[in-house]
Amino acid sequence: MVALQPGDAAVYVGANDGALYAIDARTGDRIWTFAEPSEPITSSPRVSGGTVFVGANDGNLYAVDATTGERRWEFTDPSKPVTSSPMVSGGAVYVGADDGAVYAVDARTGERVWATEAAGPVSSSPTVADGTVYVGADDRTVYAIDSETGDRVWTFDEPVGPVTAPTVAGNAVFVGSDDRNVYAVDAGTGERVWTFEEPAGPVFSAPEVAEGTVFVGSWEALFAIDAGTGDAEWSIDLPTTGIDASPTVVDGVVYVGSLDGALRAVEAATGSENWIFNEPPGWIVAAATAFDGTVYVGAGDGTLYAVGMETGERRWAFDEPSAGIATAPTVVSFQQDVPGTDAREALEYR
Amino acid sequence: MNRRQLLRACGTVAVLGAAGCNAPGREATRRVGRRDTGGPRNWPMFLHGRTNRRCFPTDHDVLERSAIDWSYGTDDAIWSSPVLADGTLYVGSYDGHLYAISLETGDARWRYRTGDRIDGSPAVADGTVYVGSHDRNVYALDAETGEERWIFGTKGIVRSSPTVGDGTVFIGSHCRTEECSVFYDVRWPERGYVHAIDADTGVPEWRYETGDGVLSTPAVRDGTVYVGSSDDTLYAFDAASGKPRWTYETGGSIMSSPVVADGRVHVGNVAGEVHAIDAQTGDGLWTFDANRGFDSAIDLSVVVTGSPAVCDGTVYVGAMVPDETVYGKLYAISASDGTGKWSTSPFAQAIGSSPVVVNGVLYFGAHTFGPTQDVSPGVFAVDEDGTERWSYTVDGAEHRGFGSSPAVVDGTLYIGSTDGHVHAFDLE
Repeated sequence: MVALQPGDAAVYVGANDGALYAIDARTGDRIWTFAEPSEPITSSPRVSGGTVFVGANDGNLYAVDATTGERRWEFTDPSKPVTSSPMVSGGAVYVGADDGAVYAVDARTGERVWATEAAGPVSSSPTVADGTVYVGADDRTVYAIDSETGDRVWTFDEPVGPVTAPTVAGNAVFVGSDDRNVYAVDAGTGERVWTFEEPAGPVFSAPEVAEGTVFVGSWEALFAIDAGTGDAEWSIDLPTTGIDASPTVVDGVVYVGSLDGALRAVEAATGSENWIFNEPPGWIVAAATAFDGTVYVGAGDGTLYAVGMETGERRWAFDEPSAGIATAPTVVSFQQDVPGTDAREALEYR
Repeated sequence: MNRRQLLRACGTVAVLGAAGCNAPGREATRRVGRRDTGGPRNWPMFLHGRTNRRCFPTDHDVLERSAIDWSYGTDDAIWSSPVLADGTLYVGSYDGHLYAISLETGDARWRYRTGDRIDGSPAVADGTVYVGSHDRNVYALDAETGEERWIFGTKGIVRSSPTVGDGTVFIGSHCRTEECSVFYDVRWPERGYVHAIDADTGVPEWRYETGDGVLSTPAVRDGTVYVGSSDDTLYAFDAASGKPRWTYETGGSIMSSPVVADGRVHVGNVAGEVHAIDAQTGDGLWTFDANRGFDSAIDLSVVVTGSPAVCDGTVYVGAMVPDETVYGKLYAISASDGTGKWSTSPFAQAIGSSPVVVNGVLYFGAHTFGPTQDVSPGVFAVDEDGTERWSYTVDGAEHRGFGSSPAVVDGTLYIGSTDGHVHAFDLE
């Protein structure tokens, strides 16, 4: 076990072997393993206040000490897998479950604050903005829920397929759907603003929004869509493969993995390719996380890859998991004043 | 060619098909209305019913082929098998569309564009038609209008066909990309799933992960779902809960769809085995090994991808047999003890098509792996003793033939073709 020192950064990632790993971001060495879940972890870990929150297919939500890997609490109410990734906001953890409920859990104690029912599994991840929890469900509906009470504010049920995790930007909520559309919905009213109908196959993951552009992957393509109008800005064709992962945008560059195991860096403005990292022999289905000059991404070969943001070259590979990695890594720098903000937030605040 | 190469050839049909299978424009001729010649009046899903049995004895005279009655052209090859319900034929095409064709006029009522090619067959139940696509979605469309009722994304490409029973759609999904379906033995192994989806709402009820892709189409009987996986295993699930009742390991990938008859499940695999398993207990009753066929002294690498038909104590199944050349072969096996009764060949290079037995005649298609002048792919009718009754053959240099499985309704046989057409043969 490697002890964390001030100045270190840790990468947290869950794997299909049922373990949550903490890895030294610089060296790729394992810091600790949390192996209590009896089923795969397909929920991406969230870190807040020195605690890692992660769901597992055994139907539990776990809170784990970010430094030691010891369990703080487990939330066992869900009767089916928790594949949704938790969101932490205002002292509460919000997470969906395949039993059809969205749960709000006290981040400190693991006690249930409220639960609200959808009509189908909630495998997508909640997003919290301005006191409202937005979540998509397999019952083809986007729910806006009061984060305090769990009461519904509005629902959006135009999609004819399950919907992805929502992304909130400006006054709009962006979701993709298995019905091959991307929707922009007014965050206040739940009214549809536009529909983007170009994807050839299901859209499985949350759109990423940056600088007024929505980035979303689908079967055989990556799209950049004008967030205001819903018009395509550019697209990249990916014959015989597709993108299930959410794109990650940092400093004008989109990082996204595809089903054939490629990680690409493309210019957000034009779609031109900076580099392609082809090492993983298996699929990439979860978002990459960029932090401090390195992109971290998990793949179906059970390996977490650390790749230089500029060069596209491998820095290290962590191949301890005995099954694939279908979750997005979270990076925490222990230099930060607020321990436990995740990489995306950290970058936004820098 | 060894088995692995053959399987790869099997998987690259899209690539090979593009060269020789460009369909001419849509065309149709009128056909006459239905007549009472025995056999089923509808064919709502792949392999006819929920048990996939496909044995239709009647008191009528043997049906004879006269000619192609009509054909309808799509824009790419058809490997999907047609289904028929309430005067409409539904079939998927490699052009990515699901077609609804009027049996009355031979014209399309509507077509619906999915995101990629369609390998599997549709299923019709309660006014809704269900189909899977390579774009990884399962679609539920209004059978009258083609309007979307719901769409459900699986994590893998869908080559399996839906089976609908008790308000639930059961379907298998394969690995995530076309590439992994072709090179599944080279790339990092991928998993497949069996999905149960609420037929009305599209909300998933359960899914079960198997060790490899699920191309096999489920059979449903008495609250149990039977389906094979490329992980070599036949699964029996509780239809309501998705919990396995039993599993049965075979010696090769199961792409064939199980057939339930007389309390037994019959299934073939790519290792050339045909298994009969007790539907209740999962106990193996017999195994027929086509590699050690009764008419050959040498070991062959027989591949069974189609489904057996079970009729009057006999199990009929097609295969591809690599010898010095590759050819399609038909086997008749005793249903009681699994001993071979007879086999006959060649029928083009492979019988991937699943035979149907009507009035004591077997009907099936045969196809090639690419343009060849050596064999003639076609549609064949043979008697229960293996004697060929008639055939409709096409030029193997231009046409890869018939990988689709026939549906027989009201004395007419319907089958998809790699030339992009659905052909209707009048059997009277």
